[in-house]
Amino acid sequence: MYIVILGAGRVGYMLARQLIDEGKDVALIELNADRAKNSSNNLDCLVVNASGTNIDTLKKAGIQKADAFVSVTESDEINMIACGLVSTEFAKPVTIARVRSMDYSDTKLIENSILGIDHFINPDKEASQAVIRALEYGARSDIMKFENGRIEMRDLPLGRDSVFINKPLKSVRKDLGFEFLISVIIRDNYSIIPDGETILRENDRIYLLSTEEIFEDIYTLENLGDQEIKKILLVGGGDVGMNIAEMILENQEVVPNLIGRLKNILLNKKRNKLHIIDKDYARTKVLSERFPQALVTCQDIMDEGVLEDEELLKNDLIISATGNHELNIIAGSYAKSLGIKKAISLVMKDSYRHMAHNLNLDVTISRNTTVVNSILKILRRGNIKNVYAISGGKLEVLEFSISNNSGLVGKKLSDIKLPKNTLIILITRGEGTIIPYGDLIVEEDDHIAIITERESIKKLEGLLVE
Amino acid sequence: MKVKTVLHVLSVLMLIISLFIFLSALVALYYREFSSVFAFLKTLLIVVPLSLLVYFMTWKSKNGVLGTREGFLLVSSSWITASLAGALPFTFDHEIPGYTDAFFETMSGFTTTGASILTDIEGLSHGMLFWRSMTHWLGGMGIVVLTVALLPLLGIGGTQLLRAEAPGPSLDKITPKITQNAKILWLIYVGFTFVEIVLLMFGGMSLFDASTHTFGTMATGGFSTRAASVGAFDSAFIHIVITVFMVLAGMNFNLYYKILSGNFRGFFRDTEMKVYISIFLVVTLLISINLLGTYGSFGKSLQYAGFQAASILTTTGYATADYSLWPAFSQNALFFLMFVGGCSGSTGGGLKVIRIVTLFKLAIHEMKQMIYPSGVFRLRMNGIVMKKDIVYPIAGFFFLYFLLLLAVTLSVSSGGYSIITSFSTALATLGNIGPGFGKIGPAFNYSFFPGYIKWILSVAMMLGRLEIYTVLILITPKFWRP
Repeated sequence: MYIVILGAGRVGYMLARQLIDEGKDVALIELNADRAKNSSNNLDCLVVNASGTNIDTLKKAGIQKADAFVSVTESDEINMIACGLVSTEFAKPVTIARVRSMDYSDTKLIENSILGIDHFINPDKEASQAVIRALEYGARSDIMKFENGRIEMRDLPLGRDSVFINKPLKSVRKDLGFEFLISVIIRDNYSIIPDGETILRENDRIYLLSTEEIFEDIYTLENLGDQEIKKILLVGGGDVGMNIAEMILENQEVVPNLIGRLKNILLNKKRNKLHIIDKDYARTKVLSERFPQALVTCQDIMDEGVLEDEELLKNDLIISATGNHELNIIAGSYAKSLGIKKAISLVMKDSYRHMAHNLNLDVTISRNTTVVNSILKILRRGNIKNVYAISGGKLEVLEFSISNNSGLVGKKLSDIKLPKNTLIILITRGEGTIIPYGDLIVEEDDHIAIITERESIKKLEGLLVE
Repeated sequence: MKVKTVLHVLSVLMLIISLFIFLSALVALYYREFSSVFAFLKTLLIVVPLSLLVYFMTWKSKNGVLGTREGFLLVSSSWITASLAGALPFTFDHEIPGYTDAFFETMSGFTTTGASILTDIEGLSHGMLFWRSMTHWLGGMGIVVLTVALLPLLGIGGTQLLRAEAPGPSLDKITPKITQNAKILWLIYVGFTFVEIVLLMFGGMSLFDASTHTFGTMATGGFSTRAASVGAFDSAFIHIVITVFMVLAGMNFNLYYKILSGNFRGFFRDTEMKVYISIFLVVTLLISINLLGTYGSFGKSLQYAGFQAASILTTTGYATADYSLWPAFSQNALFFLMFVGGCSGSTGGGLKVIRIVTLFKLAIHEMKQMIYPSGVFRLRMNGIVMKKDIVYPIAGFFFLYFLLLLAVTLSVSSGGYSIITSFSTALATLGNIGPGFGKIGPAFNYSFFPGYIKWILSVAMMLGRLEIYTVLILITPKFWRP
C-alpha cells in the first residue's frame, strides 16, 4: 500500500510513523523546510519539501501509484483543495481531508462528497466524541467497543487493595468467578501480554475485556463504584471544548416557559450542570451566547485561588480541554487532589498518557491519537473494522472480519501461526461473543479482535488474505 | 448637512398631507359644512403652492443621499411642519379659537396622544372632526414612513428615517428593502383599519363615527367625536371590538407580517408580545375583581376593566367610564399601566414593553454578575443575544424619559396645579396617552392650561412620539458641527 500524506505536523508525522512501522510505503509532502528535514531524518519515507496544492509536487510524491491521499495540514482550506485536486486529477487514491471548522464538517458537504473528497476527519469532533463516550461510562476508563458485541475493552488502574494483584491470573479468575479476560498489562511503560501464570502488581494498568454489567461489578470490587456525574466543570472553551459542551448539552434545550419547567421538575428530569471556564474574554462571550444553559466564567484556571474555589470543587468531573496539554494534565490532577471526583484530560503527546494515569487522571484523550486511529481505520477499510492504539501506540487492538476467501476459515485457533506478542482476544459470531479457546474453529463472517504489536500488522494482514 | 435634500423630501411629505386635508374637505362638503370647506381650501392654498415652490427650488438636490443626521432633522421637522400646517383649518374655521390651542390639538393628533382642549366636541363640524381623527391615523404608523412607502425616492437613507420615527428599539427588519418594509407595515395598518370600520358599523355605528373611532383606535390615539368618548356608545359589542383592536394596535406590526408569511412560531415565541399580553390580562383581571362592587356582575366589570386597561396600556386614551371614580386599587393599577405603553413597532407610545423587559433582564443580569464576579452572561431577547448597542440606548432612554417627566411635571406645576395633576399631565403627554388623573381625568380636558404650558406639552408629546433621542439630538451642538 502506498500512501501520500500532506503535512508533517504532529498528526502527519504520527500517522506516517505508524504506517511505516506497519510496513507500508509512505510519501510525505511538507512545505516547511525544518519539519521536512526532521521527518526525512527520522522516518523511513519519501519526503517532498514543497507546497501540496501543486500537481508537480504531488507527482513527485508518487501520487499516480498511491492508494490513498491524506491531507492533514493546519489549514482546512488547503486540505480540502489538495484532496479535491488529487481526486480530480488522479482518480485512483482514496482522499481523506482533516477539517477542523465545524462549519465545514457539519454540513451536507460530507454526504455529497464536495470536490470528490472521500472522507472528512474532524479532530476536534473525534476527540470530543471520545470525551463524551468516556463520560457516558462515568469517566472511569478509556473504552473500546467492538462490532455488534456486548463485550468491551476498558482499562483499569490497580490500587493497593485490588483483588487482582499478588496472585497468578488463573486463581484470580477462579476466585472472582466473572467472565473476563486481561489482554494487556502496562507496567512501568512496558506492555506485557499475560498468560495464566502472570502475577499482577500494584500500579499495573490492565486492559480488561468483559461485558458492561461485569465491569460494574469489577468497579464495585475495586472501589471505583458508581459515582453519578451531574455537575461538570469544563476548562477551556476552544474548538474541542465547544464541541464537548455542545454534546453534553445537546439533549437539554432551554426550556422556555414556566409550564415546561414545572413539567421537568415533576418528572424529575435530570439536567447536567455545566460550568465552562475560559481565560479569553472574547471567547467566553461567544460561549455564553451559544450555551445559555451553561454557566460561563472568564478566569485563568492557573491563577491563585481559582481552582480552590469551593463552588468549583463541588463539581463531579473536571474536563480539561485547553490548547495547553501540559496544563490539562496538571489542572486535572490538581483538581482531583482538591476533591473533584473525576478528571478527563486532553493530551497531545501520546507518551503523556501513561504519566497522566500515574497522576491520578481517570481518562486521558489524545486528540492526535484519535485522529490517527480514525484515519487508520479508513485506510484499512475492508477487513479491519476497528483499530485502537494503546500503550502509546506500541500495541494495537484490531478487529477483523473474516471473508469467505480467507485462508483462516475452518482452521482451529491453536493451528493459526500468529506473530509473536499477538493474542486473539475476542471472537464475535452473529449476535454473540466468544472468548477464544484453542479448539475453536474460525467461521466465515466472524469478527476477530486481535491485540498485537505494530510491527506485526503487515504479517497479520498477510495471514488473513492467505 | 444637506438641508436642501431635507427640504425637498419635506415638501413631498407636505403634498401627501395636503391630499388628506383635501379628503377632509370632501367630507365637509358631503355634510354641506361650507365654512369648513373654505377653511380646508384656504389651508391648501397656503400649503400646496409653498410646498411646490420648495419642491422645485430644491429639485437639483432631489437625488442627495440622506445620512444619519439628515434623517433626524427630516423626521423632527416633518412632525413640526405637519402640525403647524394641520392646525390651520381649525384656526381658519374659528372652531378652535386660538392658534396655540389648534396647534396643541393637532400635535396631540399627530402624536396619537389624544389630549384635547375641546370643551364642546359635539359642537365641531363633521369635516373638522374627521380631520382631527385623520391626524391620528396619519401619525399612528408615522408620516415619514408613509412618505417612504408611497415614494421610493428615499433609497438609501430610508432605513435611518424609519429608525428615527419608529416606536421602540426595533430588533429586526422584515424585508430587505426599506420601501417594501414601509409598504407592508402600512398595508397591514390599512387592512386592520378597514376590518375595524366594518365591525363597528356592524355594531350600529354610522360610517362617520366608525371611521373616526377606528382612526383613534388603530393609531392608539384617543380622539372621539363625543364628549363622553366611547362611553357614548352603549353597546358591549362596540366596547369589545375597540378593546380588541386597541390591543392589536399595541402589538408589534412586524409580528403580523410574520403571521402573514406563515411564521407562527416567530409570533408565539415573541417575548415582548407575551409579556404585553400577560400584563394586559393580569391587570384586567385584578381591576375586574376590584370593580365587582361598582358594576355588580363580573361580566360587566370585565368589560369596563378590559376596555380601560387596554386603553391606558396601549396609550390610546379612550374611556367608557370615568375611572377617577373607581376604587383606589383600580386607579393605581391604571396608573401603573401608564408607565408601560405598547410594544416596539406598534402605534402605541409610552416606555414600551420591550424596554421594560430589557431593563428587567439587565437588573437580573447585574445580580447574577454580583454572584459570579467572573461570570460571563449575555442578555437575550427571543433567544437572540442583545448587543450593547441596543441595551445601552434603552438604559439611556429610560433615564431621559424620567428626567423629562420630572421636568415637564415641574413646568406644569408652575401653573399652580397639584402634584397628581402635574405629574399625570406630564405622563399622559410624554407617554402619548391623553387622559390622566386629577384635573385631566377622563371627564375633563386640557383647555384650562395657560398658553405657555400648552406649548411645553406640545413639545413633550413630540418628544414622546419620536422617542426623545430623535428630537433631543437636534439641540446638541455636535449635531450641527460634527
